[in-house]
Amino acid sequence: MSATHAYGGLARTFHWTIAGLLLVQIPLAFYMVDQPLGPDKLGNYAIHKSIGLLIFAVTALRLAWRVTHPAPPLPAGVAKWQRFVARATQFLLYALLFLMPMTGLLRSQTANFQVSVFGLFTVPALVGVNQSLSKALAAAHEAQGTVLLVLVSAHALAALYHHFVRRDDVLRAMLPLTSYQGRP
Amino acid sequence: MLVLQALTVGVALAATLMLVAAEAAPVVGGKAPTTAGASARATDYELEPAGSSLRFTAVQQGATFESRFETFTARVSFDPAKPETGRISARIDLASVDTGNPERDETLKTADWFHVTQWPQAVFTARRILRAGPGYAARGTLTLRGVSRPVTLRFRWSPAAPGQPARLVGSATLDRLAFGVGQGDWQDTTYVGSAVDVRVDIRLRAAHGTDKSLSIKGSAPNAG
Repeated sequence: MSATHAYGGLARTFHWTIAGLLLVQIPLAFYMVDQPLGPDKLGNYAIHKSIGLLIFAVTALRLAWRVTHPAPPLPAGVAKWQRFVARATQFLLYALLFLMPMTGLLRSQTANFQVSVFGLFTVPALVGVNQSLSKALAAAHEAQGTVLLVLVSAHALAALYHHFVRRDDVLRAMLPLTSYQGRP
Repeated sequence: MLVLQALTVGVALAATLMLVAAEAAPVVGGKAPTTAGASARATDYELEPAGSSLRFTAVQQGATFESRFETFTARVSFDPAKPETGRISARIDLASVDTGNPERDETLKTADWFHVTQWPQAVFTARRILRAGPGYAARGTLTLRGVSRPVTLRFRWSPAAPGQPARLVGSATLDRLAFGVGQGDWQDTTYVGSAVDVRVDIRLRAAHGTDKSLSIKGSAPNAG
């Protein structure tokens, strides 16, 4: 019998894969932008771009899975506004995990920085070179990054609030490497 | 006796040096070689900017990027029936590099790369043209960033027709590091490859003057 009060194994794998990638991706972004121009900086940008496109691919699979496998409901006692904020945050996180790799990729391509994924293949050019569009996309990418950081923090703090303050099973429902199937 | 030997050696050395200097003169002096020595059959051509382009591709962060030089000039003396009498010389204004990214262009002009304040131009001269497959191979010397290295330009030739200039389409592969393009940390080829593919597609019209040192702007749009 399938659990309805916890996320399935694949959903959890998706979640923590993305979480792990973001844990590298976000600090790397802040570090690389201030590096002096040199091979090290180029290398970090190349890794950042590759991880970004990997996040995009995993998010696409994850979203397809999520649509066919609904999330378990929140505990009964959770206030209506909190339910709304939780779901809105999750929705926006999905949106950003999709959008950010795209603004990043297009920002690179419009600047004639073609993008290779881990040196395995080059992403086909979706747009031509356009410097002013590139600047706008770079600004959008940065703004999205700020929003993502706020949302990820809120998402994580809310999970910790549920676990340690409310002492409910919201975090447990997503924890990896457990066989927790939820309390009916 | 010893004095005589030293003198002989000295004269021979001087003669050799003069020969080398004469060979290198067009490169060092930045003057296009004249074609006085070539067969009268070979026609002298100068660059027809319209439709001419000088492009290159290189690899950055694992991906190829397309670039071009906006300003260059070329002189060609060539007769397809007697390729061995041909001569090619070209001068490229390195500051006119257009990689489709202004930041990268500025970086390329700095001392670590082309160092355009010290070496504003690259010069290619070929005095030895051979038949090669369906086309020709011009064995010449490229001087870039103060370093001269042999470079072979393989090309195909379309003769001029009434109302149409002659056309030379060719390519060469260079190793940027052989010319010191990319100093210090930039010698690392992990994220900026060392191989650079150069593609030449130039239109040539019969030359009027004997030498023209002006830089002529190629007018082909950037494919970037």
